Amino acid sequence: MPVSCGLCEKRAMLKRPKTGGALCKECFYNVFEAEVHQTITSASLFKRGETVAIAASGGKDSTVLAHLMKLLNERHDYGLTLFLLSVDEGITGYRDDSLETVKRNQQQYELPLKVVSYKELYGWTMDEIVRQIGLKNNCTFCGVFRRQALDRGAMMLGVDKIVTGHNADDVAETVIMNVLRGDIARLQRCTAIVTGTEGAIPRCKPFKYTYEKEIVMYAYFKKLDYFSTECIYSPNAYRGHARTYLKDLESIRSTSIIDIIHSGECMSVSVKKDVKMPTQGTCARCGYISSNELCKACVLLEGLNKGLPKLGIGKPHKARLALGLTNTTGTTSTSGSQRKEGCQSCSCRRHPYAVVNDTSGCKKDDGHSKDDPTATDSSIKQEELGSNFSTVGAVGDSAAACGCNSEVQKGPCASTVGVKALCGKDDRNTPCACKRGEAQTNKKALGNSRAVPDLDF
Amino acid sequence: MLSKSKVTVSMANSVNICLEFSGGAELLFDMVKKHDVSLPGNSQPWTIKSLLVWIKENLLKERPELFVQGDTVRPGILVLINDVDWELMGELEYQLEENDRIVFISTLHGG
Amino acid sequence: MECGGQLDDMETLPQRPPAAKKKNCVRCGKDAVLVVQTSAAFCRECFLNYFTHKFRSGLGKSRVVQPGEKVLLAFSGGPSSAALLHLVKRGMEEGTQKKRLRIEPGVVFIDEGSIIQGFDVDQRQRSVQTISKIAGESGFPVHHVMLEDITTVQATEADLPVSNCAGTSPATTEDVERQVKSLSTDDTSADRLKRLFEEAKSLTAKEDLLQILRSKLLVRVARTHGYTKVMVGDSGTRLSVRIMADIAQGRGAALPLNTGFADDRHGDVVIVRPMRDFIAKEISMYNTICQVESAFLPTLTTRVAEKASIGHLTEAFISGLQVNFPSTVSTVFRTGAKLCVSDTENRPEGYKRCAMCKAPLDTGQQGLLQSSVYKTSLAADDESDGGVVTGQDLCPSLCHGCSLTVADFGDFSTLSDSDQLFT
Repeated sequence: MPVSCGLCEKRAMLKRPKTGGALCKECFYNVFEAEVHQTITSASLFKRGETVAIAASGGKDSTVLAHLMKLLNERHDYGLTLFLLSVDEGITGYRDDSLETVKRNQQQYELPLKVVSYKELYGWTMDEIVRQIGLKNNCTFCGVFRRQALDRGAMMLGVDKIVTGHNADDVAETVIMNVLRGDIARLQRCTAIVTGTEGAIPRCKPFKYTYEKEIVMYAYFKKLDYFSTECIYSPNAYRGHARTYLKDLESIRSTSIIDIIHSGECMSVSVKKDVKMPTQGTCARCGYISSNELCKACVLLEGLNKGLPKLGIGKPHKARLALGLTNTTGTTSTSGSQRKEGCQSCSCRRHPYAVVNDTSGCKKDDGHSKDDPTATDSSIKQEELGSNFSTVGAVGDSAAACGCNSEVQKGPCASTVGVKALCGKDDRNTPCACKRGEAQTNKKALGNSRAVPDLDF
Repeated sequence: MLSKSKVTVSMANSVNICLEFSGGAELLFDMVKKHDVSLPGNSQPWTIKSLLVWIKENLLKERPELFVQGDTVRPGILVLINDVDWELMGELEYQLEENDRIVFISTLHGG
Repeated sequence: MECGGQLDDMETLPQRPPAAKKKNCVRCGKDAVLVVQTSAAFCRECFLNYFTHKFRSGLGKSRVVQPGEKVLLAFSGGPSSAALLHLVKRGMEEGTQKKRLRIEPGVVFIDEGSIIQGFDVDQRQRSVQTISKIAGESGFPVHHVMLEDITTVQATEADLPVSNCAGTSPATTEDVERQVKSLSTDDTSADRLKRLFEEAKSLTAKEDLLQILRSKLLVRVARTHGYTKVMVGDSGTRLSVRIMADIAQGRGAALPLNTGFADDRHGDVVIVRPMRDFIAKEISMYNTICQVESAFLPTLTTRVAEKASIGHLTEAFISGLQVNFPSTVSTVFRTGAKLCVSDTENRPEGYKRCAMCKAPLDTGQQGLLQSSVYKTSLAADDESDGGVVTGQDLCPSLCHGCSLTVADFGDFSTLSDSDQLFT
């Protein structure tokens, strides 16, 4: 019982989930490409002359995205310079294989490729991290690190925009996840087609309205070369539930994905005014955008380097306690910008991106930080961020006092590449006790040039 | 579940078809993507529905729930019959014909 | 997506603690009988106090219900609305004069039997009797209406078949019988409603429509009899399912109205949800301790497969998660509670409400809702590809969610014929 294409006389090859209509291969290509083009133009994602990094993992979405960006850029003369940007998490048997796919894509699409690795940025590969912490929370590390890694890679390339392969199913899934997690701030952001427009490198999702099924079909019919193995470290059961729910919903009502995105868009404008939202500040240590004093990556890295890998997992205030940061919370909520910076012996924050020294010196200060056991509400902490940031200089000044203990440092100064990209100096060999001036310069560069958004939509 | 592949027996109304698993679905089949199989003669014509039962009993190496749920494929696995979306072919009720190529693509892995 | 592990999945989600040992009441130290949603353990007395206090303070804090106000209690027979009835009754009798709940309550029961398949007249009669009996025991006036009454024209509203029984004399069996019989045999309004529901292509649409009709009817009964508030028994568990199901059905904009404490979209009659602070488990415990009687009535989704409708699937999804992640219901619920109807006051002149559900219209806003624009504009692109008729073409004044439901009703005229839908 052949069904004929809704647009021409040929035989239909697939049923579109979005509309229920049947299309032949050629018409499907046309409609698929036209829709992505329409998304790009109607949301004004790019300007002529911009350089754009395509986040490429070798998987289906990013492979189709690279193919389409190249195609549409030529067909509609967007006037964009395109790069492929990959993150090497250091997962043997998974990422090394998928990177091969990306390298083949590079050849096929004749696009320059940049690979940034966790090892060079953080001093740790995911394999090493998993050896430390086991399989339970490794995805938290990977997710947090990847977000920053993409941004840093993009900065090294000097691009104007990053495009990611997040498709409609991903956006819908994230809406569901954020509701289940009660994360109202992310819920508000996650349906935006462009995130991080203020001073950061904006990220765009040209596939926001593109169904996963159509991406897979497109890749299959076009015989695109993609890598399709699940990450060996990702047994993320909870997200799996959400995903299964989504697929089940889709089988009940095929428009569910778009309906959920619609709901998400509506909800993003209807958050009550009196709901406390985390204000985006910047990490006191590395300058990356953060809603806490230290960004998640720095806390996680600190934990790894100190042999306390669980540090960043769990309640934020516990990590603060362990880092000797807590008393800032206790005092700042009342004294505002006049507060003293926390433990003076803990001056490790002066080094951008890298977490290098043992802060055990500040453990003795835990006593005075016990006054905020209730301050777990991240919103409370947000209020102090402004003042917090203003004291960064002071922290740097006290750096000399730090009994910086470099033996706990794992690998070289973790983010030398990032630093190089930012300040232009090659301090790959600089020991962890970076020169103060440099550190401050970097800090300034970070503070001014970007406030990298939280893109984990 | 780990029964050895059925010996190919030529019977009246047995059907030779080609099965392909990709997008990660091959993981459940010992990483073998392409399977040329001969479905034994049957009193009823072979359908996708009965094929799934056959696959579950004869080909699936591990965790059948990741491939079949109830009497159909797990949500998120695309089925193509001779490169045509199975939704256009009657889904589970489609009757298999000689030399049909059935492709199962998982959409659930990576991106 | 790159991979599943974006962030924080596990850390923000407390998992079920290992099987609990014997616990003591957190207030008095006696043996506890129940662990409530805050994971505190209570003995019977302390639990009752906690429960009752929470109900009263929830009502008090909201300041929605004024002293002396006429309040209609919607009673379905289920545990939650039974507990609501009991709580109100106790609240009016116990405590000092000053502390007492001062409202003028009435009870309403909607008989939805006409649209339940395989639910025959006899069964219907029996269930109506059971419900009337339980409702009557409250001593409050009881109004009994049938879902099909929604299809009767507004003009005859005063003649709604309402049995208005004063407290001590609940409806007699004969009364009920007469009503059920007269309405389920050769009655056109029941037939019309039945036809309407048979028209629906999906159970999801049926459930959605039922929900809308139910609210409309409650508001109508309230108006007719001079009630200004309607209290419904939705529990936190139920509402968190509703939140998720609303999202799945594109009703994100109306979610604050559908699940908030007070729903004022109908203007003069406000729907209140005072049971929203309780999870189903707490309500069952209250009913057990206080020996509150409830009755089970079949619904549209009784004994259907798990994946038969979005609502049903969502319920299975949430309750499944709740088993291993006990904070699921409360987290979802709190997320919903942080939303409000997007700034109603600042809306432009022509701001409209959905013709069907009366929620503020969520379609066609500039820049915001690309999804809906996208959906329709592309349907134009491949028109002949059998694009979904969104219902918006037929009725431009429907919200996204209602347009989906209307689209599932196939022949739209059946809906518009039942004139009360759009008023």
